[in-house]
Amino acid sequence: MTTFNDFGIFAGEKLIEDRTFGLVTATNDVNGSWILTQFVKRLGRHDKVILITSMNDEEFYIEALRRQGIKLQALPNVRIVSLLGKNPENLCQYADKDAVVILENPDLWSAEGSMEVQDMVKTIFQIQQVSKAVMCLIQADSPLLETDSSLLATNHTNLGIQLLHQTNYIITLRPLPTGRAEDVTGTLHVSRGTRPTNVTVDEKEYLYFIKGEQVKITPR
Amino acid sequence: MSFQKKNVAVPNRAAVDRNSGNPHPLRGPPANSSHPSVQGRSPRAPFTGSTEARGTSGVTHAVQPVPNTKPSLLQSSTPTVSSGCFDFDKLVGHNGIPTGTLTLLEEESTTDYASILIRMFAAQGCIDRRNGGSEVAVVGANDAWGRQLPGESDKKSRSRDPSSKAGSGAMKIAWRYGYNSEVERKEQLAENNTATFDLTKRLGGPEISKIRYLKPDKSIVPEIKKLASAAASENSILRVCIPTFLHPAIYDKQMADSDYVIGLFTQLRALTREYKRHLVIIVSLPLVLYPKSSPLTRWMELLADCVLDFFPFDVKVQEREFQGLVNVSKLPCLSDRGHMLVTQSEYAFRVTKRTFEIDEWSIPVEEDDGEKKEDALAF
Repeated sequence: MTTFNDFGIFAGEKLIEDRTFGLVTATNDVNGSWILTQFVKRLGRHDKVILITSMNDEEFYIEALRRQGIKLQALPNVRIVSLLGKNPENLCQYADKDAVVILENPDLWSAEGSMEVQDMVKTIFQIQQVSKAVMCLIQADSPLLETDSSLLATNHTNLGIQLLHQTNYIITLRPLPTGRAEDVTGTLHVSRGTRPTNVTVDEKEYLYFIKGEQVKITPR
Repeated sequence: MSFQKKNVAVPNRAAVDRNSGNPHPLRGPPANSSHPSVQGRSPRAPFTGSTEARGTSGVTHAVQPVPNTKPSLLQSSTPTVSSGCFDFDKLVGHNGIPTGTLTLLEEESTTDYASILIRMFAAQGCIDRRNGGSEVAVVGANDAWGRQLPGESDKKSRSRDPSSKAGSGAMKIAWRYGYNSEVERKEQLAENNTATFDLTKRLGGPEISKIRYLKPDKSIVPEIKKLASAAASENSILRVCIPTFLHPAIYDKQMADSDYVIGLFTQLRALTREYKRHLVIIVSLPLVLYPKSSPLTRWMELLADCVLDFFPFDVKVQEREFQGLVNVSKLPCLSDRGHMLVTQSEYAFRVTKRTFEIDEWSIPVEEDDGEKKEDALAF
């Protein structure tokens, strides 16, 4: 179960320093919840972590951590908040100066119209200003970004670009352009964000492979 | 293609409890033998039985098993229900549809093959009622829809042509690794729960009289919630069918607002999680109206647990054996965890007079080319 070698991506303190904002993007083909689980697992040992999800229930992450061999009770610093099917009211209450706040798919709230894009961006940066660090997972599927001029795509692009402009680091999960492979799940790209900072980001592309409970990451 | 299988330890037959029908989690269904997660599963599940697993996760579910469910072949703690179609169950990977999931069947062109599957799914629910604990609800349909549900076949066993590709192929693979009897046993297991339908027959009678028909308006979510909570209190399974979602002949124009549709799907997803052991939802979506390139369709795909696309062949091209392709986008409980399971043109479906079959597909004329292409994809 321990063939995992992350080449330092998950060292956490490397990327997640005070006040950093990181963006993780994924697509329908390669779900990004596993990487959030890894961050929760690794950061949760030393830091306070609050994971807020719009897509999954609490049990999903409890189970995901259990598959990683960790009971949620063993991580007293970790709190999982599921807002699946609920209105994202008063998100700022989760801000905490000692906590790393991880947001999964806040883009769903703007897509279903329960929150305007501008309010969303404002809220996320309000949280960031009073928290240790914020990491945010949004979708980067091409139909959501470039295809038509529908309000849905425009709003999504708008949200993505506004968040992108505040990033310290970006983690991109994509399937292989050649399609499904037996021993590769997809590519993981770590790059510097657009905000000028001292955060050291080792820009690199990796191949990752999820096999059962294991994740293997190898530099490309 | 998957030689890695050789590294997998031979499953201990003794670990399989025949009476409970609890299959060993190491082995996947034959059609999915190249599945990444199957190869790498650590043999941990047998030791943490479903009740214990639930207990440790701090969730207090009824320990009592829900009637008409069987454990998934991939993870024994997940109950599944039969879709009513043997090959569909196999394609999904768990040998059934896991409860607490939302399945989206997308269909290109103006045909409506997906509705055949949904009818089989509903008919299976009606037949399961005989054992108690099974309810069926359909959105945007009436009695006429219910009367068209397929009836059970006279033949007790699954009438499969022995020379059929998938059957014999699975056996060959199983034989190579010495699991022949296990595959046979699993097929028998699967048959215990799945009815064999004959599409030329009609179910009719008292079985279909209890189907609930829900109006295709904004009351969908509260109505389903009401039924699901009743199902949970009676420890039964509620199957919700939503055929040809957003079809303008059925749904009002204001229902098709993207905000509303995404909100509705989010609520449906939330309901499947709330009633994890008692609710299964299946939706079919015509891609003619909502193409795959549209952001709305993508959000529906993101919110669904299982996404399969049906692409019927052009009538003029007339493939001899098959009516169209089945592409997999997402599979329940696996895609969520990050597995990439997209397959293009690897499976095809055929609807015969009697049944709906899904088989592996390769380019018929130049089979060598098909092989090469596959190799390139797998590195």
